[in-house]
Amino acid sequence: MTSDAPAESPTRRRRWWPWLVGGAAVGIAAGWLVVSLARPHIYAGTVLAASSQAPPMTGLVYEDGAPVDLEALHGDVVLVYFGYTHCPDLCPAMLSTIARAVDAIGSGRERVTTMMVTVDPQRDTPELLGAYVAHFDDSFRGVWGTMEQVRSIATQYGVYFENGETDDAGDYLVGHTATLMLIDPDGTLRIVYPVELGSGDLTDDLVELTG
Amino acid sequence: MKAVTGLAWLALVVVSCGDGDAIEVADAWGRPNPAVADAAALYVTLVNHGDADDALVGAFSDRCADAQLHETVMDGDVATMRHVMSIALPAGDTVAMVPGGLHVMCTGVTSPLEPGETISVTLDFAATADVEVAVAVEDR
Repeated sequence: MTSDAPAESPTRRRRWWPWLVGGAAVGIAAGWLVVSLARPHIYAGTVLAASSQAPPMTGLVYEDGAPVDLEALHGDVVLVYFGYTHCPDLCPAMLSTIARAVDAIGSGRERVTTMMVTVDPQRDTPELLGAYVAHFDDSFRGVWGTMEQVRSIATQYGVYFENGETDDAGDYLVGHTATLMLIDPDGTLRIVYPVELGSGDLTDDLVELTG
Repeated sequence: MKAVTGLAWLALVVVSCGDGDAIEVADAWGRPNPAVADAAALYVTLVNHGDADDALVGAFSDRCADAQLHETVMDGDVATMRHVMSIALPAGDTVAMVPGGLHVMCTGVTSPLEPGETISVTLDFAATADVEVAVAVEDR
């Protein structure tokens, strides 16, 4: 017994500090967790006060002709943008922003559905919309309906659109509400994002809702 | 002697950058367009270093059947676009084209603008001579 004592005691004396450091680290981590859980996530868009179930997209179809069934997407976050394929400035900018945000959330991206509903059903076709949105991300869906169907659903989403003047070549631009809307996993139309939305801010919100 | 020669060269460079380069074009980029899309937006920042007012009145590229100066105008959340005939460039001013604002709308894109490539665009000014710009195609 006595012969073991000198070998043990220096070891015992050296061992107190890893416990102190470890304990401090656990304490800091626990403190950080408490603080971050206590602080509610601030969303980058306008959270709708009177939020209700997102209006169904009755009659609208995806690029492959399948009907858009929002109820089937419960459990996922759905991003809805009203745009058109002849739109050169804002629509590509927003779709690029969403693509970057979705890329950044890793595996959670499987729980995010992004769709662009056309506000130009005369020139856009389901196939054209599908090819257009796929340029930004393979998972994006193009959504089409007749002018009457799109008009009715857009109005329910608070989206306005109107064709501009037709030029000599028969081309026209479409003025449209350019915000991005988010339907949460419960199917509630919950957040409206401004045109200048940054991809990092959207990523944070998607992580919050899919995490 | 070397220093004098160096100064002479410097002076020559400074002189050659004179009024011929009154308009500086910076940060020229364009967004890659989906193959099915007819239009692509290009953006440049223009700086008028000269003493005289100028204006951008047009743009041309062999990659666009037509290129027009456009501006996205927001009315609340509603975006509309308007064709602008010229973009004023007062002496000493900087005009930056950005998504959601002024841009060159390239329509009838002959072949899709691919990330990493550079396209040549000629900018037509009211006062100074045309400026040929290398526009970088990139995702932003």
